[in-house]
This record gives sequence, C-alpha cells and structure tokens, in this order.
Amino acid sequence: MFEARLGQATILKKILDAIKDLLNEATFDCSDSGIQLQAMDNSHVSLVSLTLRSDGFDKFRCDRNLSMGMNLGSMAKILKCANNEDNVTMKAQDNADTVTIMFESANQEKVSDYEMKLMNLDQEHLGIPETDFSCVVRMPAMEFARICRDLAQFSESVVICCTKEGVKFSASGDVGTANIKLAQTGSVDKEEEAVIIEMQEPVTLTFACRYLNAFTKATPLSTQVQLSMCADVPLVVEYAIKDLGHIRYYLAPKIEDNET
Amino acid sequence: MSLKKALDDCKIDFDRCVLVTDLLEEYKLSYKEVNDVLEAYIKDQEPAIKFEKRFLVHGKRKTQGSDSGEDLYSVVMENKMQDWLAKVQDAESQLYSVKIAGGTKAPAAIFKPMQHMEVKLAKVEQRPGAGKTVPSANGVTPSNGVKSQPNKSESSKSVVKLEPSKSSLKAETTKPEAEKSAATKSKSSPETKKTSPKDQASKAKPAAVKKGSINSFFTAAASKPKDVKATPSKPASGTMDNFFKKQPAGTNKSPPESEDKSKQDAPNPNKKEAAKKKSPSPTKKSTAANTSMQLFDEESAAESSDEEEKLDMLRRKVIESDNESDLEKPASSKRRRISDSEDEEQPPKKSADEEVITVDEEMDTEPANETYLDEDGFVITQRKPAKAQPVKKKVSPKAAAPVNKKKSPPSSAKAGKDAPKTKQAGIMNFFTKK
Repeated sequence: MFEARLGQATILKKILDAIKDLLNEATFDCSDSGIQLQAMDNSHVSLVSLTLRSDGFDKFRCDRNLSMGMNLGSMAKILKCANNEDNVTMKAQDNADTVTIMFESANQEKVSDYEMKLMNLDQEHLGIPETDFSCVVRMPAMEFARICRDLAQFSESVVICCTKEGVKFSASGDVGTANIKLAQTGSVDKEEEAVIIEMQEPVTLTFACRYLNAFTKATPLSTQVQLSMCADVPLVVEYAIKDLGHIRYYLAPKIEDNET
Repeated sequence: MSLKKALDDCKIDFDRCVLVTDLLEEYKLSYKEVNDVLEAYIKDQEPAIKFEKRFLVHGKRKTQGSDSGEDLYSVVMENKMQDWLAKVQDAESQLYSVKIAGGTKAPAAIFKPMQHMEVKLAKVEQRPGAGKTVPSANGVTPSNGVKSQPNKSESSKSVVKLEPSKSSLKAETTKPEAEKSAATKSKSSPETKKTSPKDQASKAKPAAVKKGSINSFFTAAASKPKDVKATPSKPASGTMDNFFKKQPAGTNKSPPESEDKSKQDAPNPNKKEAAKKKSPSPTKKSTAANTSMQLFDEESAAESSDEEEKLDMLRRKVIESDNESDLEKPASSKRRRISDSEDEEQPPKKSADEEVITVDEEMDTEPANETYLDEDGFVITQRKPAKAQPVKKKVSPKAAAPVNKKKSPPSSAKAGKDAPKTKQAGIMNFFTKK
C-alpha cells in the first residue's frame, strides 16, 4: 500500500509543470524514504531527477517499494482539476495497475478522486557519480529564467563562463551577440536575491538553450537555482522544493566537434 | 605661450580681426605689453603685409559754452584717427584691433579643410557644428566670431552695427563649402581613406566598408540605381533586404520626362545656382525627387539670361550623349540640389552619400570653378559646363561598386564564423547505467 498526502496540490502541479515538457512518461519510484523520479528526455541529452522526501509529506506510507509508470501528460490533466489549496493524496495498492489521486478541498466539503492507469515503462536508471564541481553558482531562479529566455533569442547555445569575477552567460548568433554578466552580490537583504559563486577553478561550458529553458519551468518551485559546473561534466541545475526535496536537471554540455 | 611666441608661430590669424582686448585676456598681459609686442610685430611685417588698424579714441565732446563735455569713446580707422583726435577734447587713442588690410580671403578655405583633416585623422566624425568653430590656437577665439566674414563681424563689433544678420547667414553658407573642399582634399590624400565614412562611400570600394556597419547599409542603398539598371524588369521580392534595396530604385523610377528633366539639370549646376540666386527658399523646402523636378521646372521657366541659354545648349548636348545612363541622372540631379541647399530635408543615408559625390565632382572641376557669395549670402559655385560630362562618368562607377557590397549582408555569415563548431553530447556519455 502506498499513500502520500500533500497539503497543497499546487506543489504537485508545479512539479508536473517542471518536468512534463521534457518527459512524456516517467516512473515514480516510491519507497519509505520518499518518491524519486529519474528519467532522460527523448533525445537523451538531459536527465531529470526528482526527489520528494517522505518527511515533506503530510502523510506518507509506503509498505513496499513501488514503481509507478505514469504518463505525465495525463497526470497533468488530472492535477489541473485540483484547486491550488486542495489537499492531494496519491494512493496505490501493491502491484496495482492504477493510481488514485484524490483532491479534498480545505474545508473537506469537496472530495474528488481520479484514477489513472499506470504504465510499465522500461526505463534505465543511470548512476550519477558524486562530483566535486569546479563552480557552483546560486542565483535567483527568476533571473536565470530571464537570462535563458533572453539569450535564446540570439542563439541555440549559451556559453556559461564562471570566473572569480562572476558568471557570464553569452550567446552569439545572426542577430548579434549577447552577454549577461552577474557578479557575486556583496550583501543582500533578501537571501533569494543573492548571487553566490563558489569557485574552485574557472569553467566555460556551452549548453543548449532549449533545455535550459525547459529547466526553467521549475522556477515557480524555488526562489533560487543552483548551477553546478565542471569541465566536461553535465551541468546540474537544481531547484529546491521547500521542505520536500529537490528537482535536478542534468544537461550534457556541447562539445567541440572535432570531425569538422 | 607668450604673445610674442604666438605671433612668431603665426598662431594668431590676422585674416580675422584681432582685438587687443582679447589678447589682453588671453595672455594676461598689460595693455602696454600687448601694444608694444603687437606694434613691433606689425612693424616687422608691415612692408610685406598691410595691416588695417583701428584705434579707440577717447575724449570729451566739445560742446558750446561749457568746458567739460561728455565722455566720448569711438573706434576709428587709423586714417581717420587724426580727425577724431582733433574733434574731441583731451583726446587719447589706443590700439584697438588689427587685421590684414583687405583680408577678405575666406579663412574657411584655408583653415577649415585643415581642421577637417585633423578630425579625420583622429578617426572622429566631425560634429555638425564643428565647421563653425574657430581654431582655438588663434588667441582671439571667443570674440572673433565668424571665420568666413571677418570684415563684417569685425565692423559690426567695433564701430557701427552694420549688418549683424548677414554675417551669421554667411557663416552658415560657407560651412558646406569648406566641408566640400575638405573632402576634396581628403580624397586626394590616401591616408584618409579609412577615416571618413563619407570617403568610404565615395571611393566605392566594397572592401573598405565594414560588414554590418550603418555605413555599409547606406552605401548599399545608394548603389541601387546601378542595380536597377542591371535588372530593370525584376520585381521586388519578399525579403527585407530586397525591400531596402528597392527603395532608392523607387525614387529613380520617376516618369521618363522627369528623368529627362533631372538629366538636363545634372550636368548644369549653374542653372540651379542661378535659380538659387533668385529664390533660395524653395530649394530648402523641396525634399523628394519629385519636388526637385518641380523646382527645376520653375527655374527653367524663370531664367532667361544669356548664361542660361548657354547652359541650355550644353544641357541638350549632354542629353544626346548620355541617353544610356538615364538611371543615374535622378540621383545626380538630386545630389546637386542638395549641394546647393543646406537645409535639405533628406533621408540621412542619401544626403551622406550624395554629398560625397558632390565633393568628388568639385574636386574634378575645381580649377574651372568660380565661387562667390550672392546677394542673399549663398555660396555660389559656378562651374564650367564643359566639365559636366566627365562628372557623370565619375558617378557611375560609384553606383556600380556597392553592388558587391550587397553580396555581403551584415548578418548572414557571422554566426558560423564566431560560434565554434560544437555538437551536443548525450547524457549517457557521462553517466553509467545502474
């Protein structure tokens, strides 16, 4: 038996919005520690890793480890039926082929439940090694989203260059060249507005704008985003989900084409 | 710098009226020192150069029946000073201003090109008002006023207010001419090639124009007449690029008779100049090719002098010999109009280009030209009509060359160049399967 209850359906909605553009289907791995999801996008360029800790739920029960393959589009449709303030409960029996998603209004006067068919997804799980990143940048998630959106107008690729002076996002294309530099903020009143750079050594990597923009769909989940970079290692874009877990996106860098 | 050194180094331009008071201020000297130095300098120069000196006469007006009259100050010419000294009581005189006698040779012609060149060498574009500035080394900077008309500004300042408005008007009119001559010079000197965007256009070398610069855009637009000529039947395609290129062509596609008109006018600058003498204001109002046509119509109707008849003859000759270059004509006619009027409301790209062309023409025809100021203060350059035909030939290569420029659109090939070739790696390359 699996049952997980969240106080606000809006969080689950945001999580679904954050991943459904990249993933059509995904397997939610439920265990007593929580819910985990790991999946690559169709082109196998990026990887999404979602962790929802059990202690972040209002109620969490998982008697046996359970993998629930879901069509994320369908799940998003169901979640649209919920009000933001509704409680949401996911329930599944052991070895069941359906999952029940139940919405309860705050005053318990309205209860709606939706049953969704589960899928057997043959998805590979990848082992993600521990990495000491050369640069870790924490910055406002909104700012990152804005930068990705703006630079996408110039080029398909964004060059992220992190030095001790700050982090520079550059794009160059037919329109011209765009450079956005962010310096580390000295002291800010609001923590969420801070730009903090932890740098071991300078890094310059090139990434596809398209994926970065897909990652920024998670912006509503968190005020800050963390970019972890290391040479020849996928970029990790992490959005923390307050009191619940995090969503991490891994994006393979663009590498120089030696063949041409 | 001391006054003496400034004088020795010819830093003070006596072509313009040099006021002693200005020298006092500039060099922080006493009147006596300035006077002595200046007198000595004038004495040195005197046999070779004639100076026109003015003196300030101070005295008391002689009034009947009273000994003490009113104080009287007057600035008088040297030759009239004795009269004034005799006229007033307790008269004393002091040197007030000095300039070269009859020094009406336009300082603009000498100095402005120099200044222009300096600006070019510094790779700085000349500000619109820069032509009016007085060289700061002159030592009499603030008070000298307008360069081009030293006599009038001086007289208006020192003695009587004669024609205060005229001097300013003439200052305006002389400016473009100075620029023209400056550009003429710059064209002849190879080192200025890269500096002035106008020159780049005039050279008509596509390689000299930077990719993507506004300059390249302008020249490309100006080059259109030639392009249209090469493919006259080609309709405008949907691309923005073509649209921009077609624009100038549209101006050329004026009715044939209007083209003829402008053709007629193109090789005969005298006509317009003469017309301008008569009515300068309509020239300023005209903005587009059509209006210029109207303008020329008016002119031809209005003029009937002998000079005009000669010009008409020449015009006919030109028309006969130049039928094939009809597409260039509207541009040249318009260009002439621009060169005549300063306040032309033209799209900047055209005026920029056309000015340069005018300058080139001037250079070629310069020995035959006669420049003078008319009654209304306009600078009139009278060209020998025989030179008009070569001028046209000059224009055509200019129009032809930017065709090459069009082939290098500012943005097209850039992306490939500056972006290193990259390929997207797969995430599986970095992580292993569990």
